[in-house]
Amino acid sequence: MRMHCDAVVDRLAALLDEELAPGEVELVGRHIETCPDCAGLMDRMAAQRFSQPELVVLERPDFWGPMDAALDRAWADHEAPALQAAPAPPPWYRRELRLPAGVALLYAAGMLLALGLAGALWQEASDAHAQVAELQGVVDDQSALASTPLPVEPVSFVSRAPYRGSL
Amino acid sequence: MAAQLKLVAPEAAASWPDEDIKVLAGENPRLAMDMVIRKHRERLFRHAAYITKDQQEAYDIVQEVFIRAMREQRFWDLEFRQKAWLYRVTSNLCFNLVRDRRRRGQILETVPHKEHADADQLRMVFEGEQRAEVLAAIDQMTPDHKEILLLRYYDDLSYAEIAEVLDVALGTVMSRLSRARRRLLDVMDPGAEQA
Ligand SMILES: [Zn+2]
Repeated sequence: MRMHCDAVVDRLAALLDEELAPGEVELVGRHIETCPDCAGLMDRMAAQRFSQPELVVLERPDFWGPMDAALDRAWADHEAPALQAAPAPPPWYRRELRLPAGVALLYAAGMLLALGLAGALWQEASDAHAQVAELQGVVDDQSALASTPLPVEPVSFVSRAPYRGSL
Repeated sequence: MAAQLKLVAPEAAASWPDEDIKVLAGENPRLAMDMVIRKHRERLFRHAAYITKDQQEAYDIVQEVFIRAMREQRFWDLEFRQKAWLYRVTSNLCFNLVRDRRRRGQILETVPHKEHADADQLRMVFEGEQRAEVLAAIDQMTPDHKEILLLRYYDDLSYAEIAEVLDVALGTVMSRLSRARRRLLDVMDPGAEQA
């Protein structure tokens, strides 16, 4: 079945970006071999180049510092109301407990089991916390390093040649 | 746990898969959010700067996007597409800003020159680049075409990622990109088709 020009034109970008399914590449390719209009358009599109501007401003020392500070504040603001919003549960002796004897027995057995497990989990949890604390140290070191001022360069924008194209 | 062991420094965030960052979030959400921020902020800033052409506005928008991410309930859900969401929110904020600016500009047209000069003081990010042919031409296109060209050729997103950002089918990404590139040819070289 021969593809219509409109259908081919709509697939040209995907063809050039290598995002087209192999079966469709075949169909589009076969059309282009016999249609000078579509072939011409594809050649013109293939010659398009998109230049990526280099943002020198990103290399400014502590460029992200003000944003980091603002996001730290936002995180604190976002956590504080969440903590206040959670209603405190009533103390355990105020809670109603109405259980049949069998269930109570199961519950007691479960508690014993849980106590045993808790010991193991406690060890695992403290290991995890130690790991997080250690990693936080690494993060802090990196942050301190990153915030060490570098020589200030004038802010300007340069174009990077050669152009980076789509192909 | 496995995620943490791979952690070297937040600067390495770019190489971290989203899934690992989400696992980390269960343990330390603040650190996980920091990873997300470091992973995406530079590209989001570029994206915002391309659209707004104002570095301060772009900076503020990226900051706002991350504040919204902190408040987004689904952000750490396994199926939540963080990258697509970040680009979508960034794009929306940028295009809203550009629209408001244009509307304000239209009002300013009718008032004396002094305020007109204030509008011109919006700082341009690419003072040299603004003259760069392709970006300048893209700037003249419709928001739909402009956005998809930026996402693909400046932000380097795959077609699948673009489909998620724009919430459209893959076929729509293909046709819209093809039409945008064809339109770009017309804008940059109007006489070429007859040649
Ligand atoms: Zn044709």
